[in-house]
Amino acid sequence: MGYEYGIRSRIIGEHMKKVIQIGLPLLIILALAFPFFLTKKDVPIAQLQERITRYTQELQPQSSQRIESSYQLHLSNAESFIAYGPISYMNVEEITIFRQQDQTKRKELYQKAWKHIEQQKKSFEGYGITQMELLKKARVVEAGNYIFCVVGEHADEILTALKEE
Amino acid sequence: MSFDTIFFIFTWLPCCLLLYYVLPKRWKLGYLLVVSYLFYAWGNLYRALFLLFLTGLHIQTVKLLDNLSGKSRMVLFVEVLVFDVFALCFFKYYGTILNELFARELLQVNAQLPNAPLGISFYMFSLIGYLIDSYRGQLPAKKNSFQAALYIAFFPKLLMGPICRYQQFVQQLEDLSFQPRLFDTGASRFIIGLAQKVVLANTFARLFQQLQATPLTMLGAWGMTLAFALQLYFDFQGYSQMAIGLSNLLGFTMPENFHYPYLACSIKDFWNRWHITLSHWFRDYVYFPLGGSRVSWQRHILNLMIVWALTGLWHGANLTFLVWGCYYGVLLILEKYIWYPLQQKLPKGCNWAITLCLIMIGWVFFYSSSLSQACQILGSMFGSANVASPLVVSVLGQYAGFLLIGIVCATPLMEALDFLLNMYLNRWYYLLRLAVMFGLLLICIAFLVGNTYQSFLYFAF
Amino acid sequence: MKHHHYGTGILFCCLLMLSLLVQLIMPDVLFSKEENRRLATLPQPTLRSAADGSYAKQLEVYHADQFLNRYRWMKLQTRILLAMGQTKLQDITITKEGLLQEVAPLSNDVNGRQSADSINAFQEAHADLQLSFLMVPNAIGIYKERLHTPAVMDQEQLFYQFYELLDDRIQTLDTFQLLTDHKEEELFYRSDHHWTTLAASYAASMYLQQKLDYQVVVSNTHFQGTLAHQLAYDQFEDHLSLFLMQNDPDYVVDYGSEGKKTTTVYDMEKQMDSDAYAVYFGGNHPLIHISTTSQEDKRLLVFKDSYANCFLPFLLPYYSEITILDPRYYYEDINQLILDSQISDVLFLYNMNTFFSDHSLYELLSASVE
Repeated sequence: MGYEYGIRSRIIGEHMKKVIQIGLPLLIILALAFPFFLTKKDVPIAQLQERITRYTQELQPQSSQRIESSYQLHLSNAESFIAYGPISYMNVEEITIFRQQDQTKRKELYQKAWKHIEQQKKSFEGYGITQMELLKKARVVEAGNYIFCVVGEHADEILTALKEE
Repeated sequence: MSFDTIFFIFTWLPCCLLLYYVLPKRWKLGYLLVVSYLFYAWGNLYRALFLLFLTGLHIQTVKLLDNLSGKSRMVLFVEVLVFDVFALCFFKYYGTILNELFARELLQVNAQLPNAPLGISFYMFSLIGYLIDSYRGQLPAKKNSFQAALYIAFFPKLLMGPICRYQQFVQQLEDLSFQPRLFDTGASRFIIGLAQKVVLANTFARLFQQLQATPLTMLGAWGMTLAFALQLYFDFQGYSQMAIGLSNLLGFTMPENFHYPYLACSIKDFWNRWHITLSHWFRDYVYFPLGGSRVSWQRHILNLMIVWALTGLWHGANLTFLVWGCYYGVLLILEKYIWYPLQQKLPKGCNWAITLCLIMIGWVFFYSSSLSQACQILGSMFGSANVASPLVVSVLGQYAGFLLIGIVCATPLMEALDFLLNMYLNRWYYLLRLAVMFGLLLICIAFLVGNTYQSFLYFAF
Repeated sequence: MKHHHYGTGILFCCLLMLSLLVQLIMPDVLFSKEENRRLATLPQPTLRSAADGSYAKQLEVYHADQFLNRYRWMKLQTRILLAMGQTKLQDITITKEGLLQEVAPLSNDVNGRQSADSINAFQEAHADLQLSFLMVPNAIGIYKERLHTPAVMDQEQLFYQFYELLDDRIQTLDTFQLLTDHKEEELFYRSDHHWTTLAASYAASMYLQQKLDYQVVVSNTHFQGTLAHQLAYDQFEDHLSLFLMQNDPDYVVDYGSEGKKTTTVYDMEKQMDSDAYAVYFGGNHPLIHISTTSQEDKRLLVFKDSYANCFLPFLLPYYSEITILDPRYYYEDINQLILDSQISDVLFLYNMNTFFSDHSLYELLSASVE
């Protein structure tokens, strides 16, 4: 009985040894290669537009002028954009998407988006309680060739929907 | 989850302790294991799975090592060791390396690497220590997988705790009965650690930031370095005390991590007082295997430089950390081979002053984000900029009270006071102590609630 | 005597268990009057948020927000820090005479040059309008001798430097000298970042070049403003007074897109709020339009921040229409607005802290002259 148990555990041991001896180097190679293998899918901006239509019911499209002044940038920095903002000026809900392939320019857009959120926070500090809450939960995310800036109750849902593309 | 949050102290901890002391003894081990994994998974489920994987790997490897011999045993050991070191380096350095290469446009990389799981630098050392001890045959023959798993994952020490040894920990699992003295000590330690972290460390962090924002002056640079020295000490010592206190509350003892490091009279002495468990780990698992000091002096110097370069790199993936480590390596070499006779002749006070100066210079490298910045700051410390400015003087003046308290608490004065009061006050001593602890706890709560979040400096490890 | 050994342990244990009990029993507080924000409520876990740690963070915020007597603990921290010798917390200096706030200026437009240029361009584009610029220094500028640490921005220097940058056609009002002359009086609230209605009355008098005839009515004697709440420091209590003009005409206040119309500029419901300054106009709005029965045929457009709120009521008898615009919330075409409302005068009224740290005026004006 003990002898059989000994053999069985030895066989399992042999298997485990093989698993370890092969598995570990494999993991190392995978880990090293990992960053090189993730290619970005290039999603056209129109597809993203479709994704967010259900959320834009209560918003209205923003003019490029408005985007340029509130984000403090030139729209030539982005290849294309989608922007929805609130109907009333005292609200802060918005969905803004910039597309930019160049990484450095994308980083700049990312910084500008955060600065925009900070400016908004300053404007509403001490006055707009709901606005401040929403701004605190604001999300600015870089994904693929896009920068997403979402402020609103459903910021997370919207972001997940966009990221799935 | 962090120890210095309202949630941990006032919700998690009472629930944890309550259940622990209510459960029968034979369930305590399993309970601690579950609680520790829950603690780790709290911030991120995937990192807990990763820990589970690593633990399982090591436990299985140790079982195999026990049954193998000769070459295949060594091969297995080396494989797993290499994997461990690789895993650690991958999370800590691969991203930086890739960024450097990417910045120089040698590679095009698309994805972002996952963040290093919190605590990996600490528990990986526990894992590697476990592996090496087992290979050397230093572990008891009969091992319990659950005990080993708890040794790795024990939540008080998991994230930043003192790095302790397998035998020292597992021995205590034999007897998990309630120890009232230890519980009381634990409570005191936890409160003191919390105060050090939340009141002192955070305040000195603010001072450091304020001084950083002013233009460089001699007074400002020294003040900044002093603030950082105190911040880092109280941050880490506070956290270590909280970790040891929590272990005490659960009936375990842990090794100390600090022993009044700023009283050191030589660099060697300093490293016997600063992050003791780390330097002992490097000594036992890197320095001694390399030959330690029982080799030719050239090889000894090489050994020291390797160990200290690694120590520096362990702290972060920046050149400044490497320089900081090597700086101490060089100092230790000089101390051993050149300065030692001089040190013996000088009075202790002199040695202490020189050592403190050298430590401060070392910290400049530690907190600078680049070598050029470090050199700039060092330059102004030794006269390249203005001596002082009214702004710096007034900022330091505002923090004078805290600086005084900080310096006093960095010495054994409080312990001495405690001892004297115990001797002379007798029964009133206990009442006084209770009142002080209570007051301290109230102050900690005020600071916890009022503070903006200040992250523990070693947290990114 | 052996049990004395365990005092700390017992104390710790009791406190922890007590805190658990308190958490289970006490209901959640939904709104913090002092911090003027909603407090977090118990978060709902989802699989995703539990896995990536966001649920854990929400839970921590919830516990911190719901901690019993949260504001009292913050007050204790402030008291301890002050007792230890700190005189400046966050960006506010605490002096015997009051709280002085300094907001760091925008790093890319420190002297306001960009804003000055945009205002000058606006004057160019509307040469027929009479522009006036009324910049109000903050308490930290007027009372700089009360500071222990020199302020980052020298408001006096910045004030005159900025006026130099403005076009000659724009009428600039030397409020710095005006307020310095009245220094001994209560020009600024001790616990709030605004100026008092008294200070505003002097400025209004200077702007209108008239002596004003008003009656003072005290609205709130326990006013604790934004700075007191920011620091959780309640040692200062201010009086908030309304200055009612004797020759006030009848008027209608239209809050534009928010649809409200009232016949008074005072929102009396707000006077006992934690932000009692909101008694003026009920706070900030993007666009307010006031039509008065005044005989003067002047129509004023005001670009402002919150400092103007207690200033504007003095102007009511002297303009038939006042259009009030806050560039932080308004994005429409002001050229159209000027045409539609037949504006004849324009006034810019800003306090220095806001003016030099906010870019919205510059953005609005430069958008309009493009």
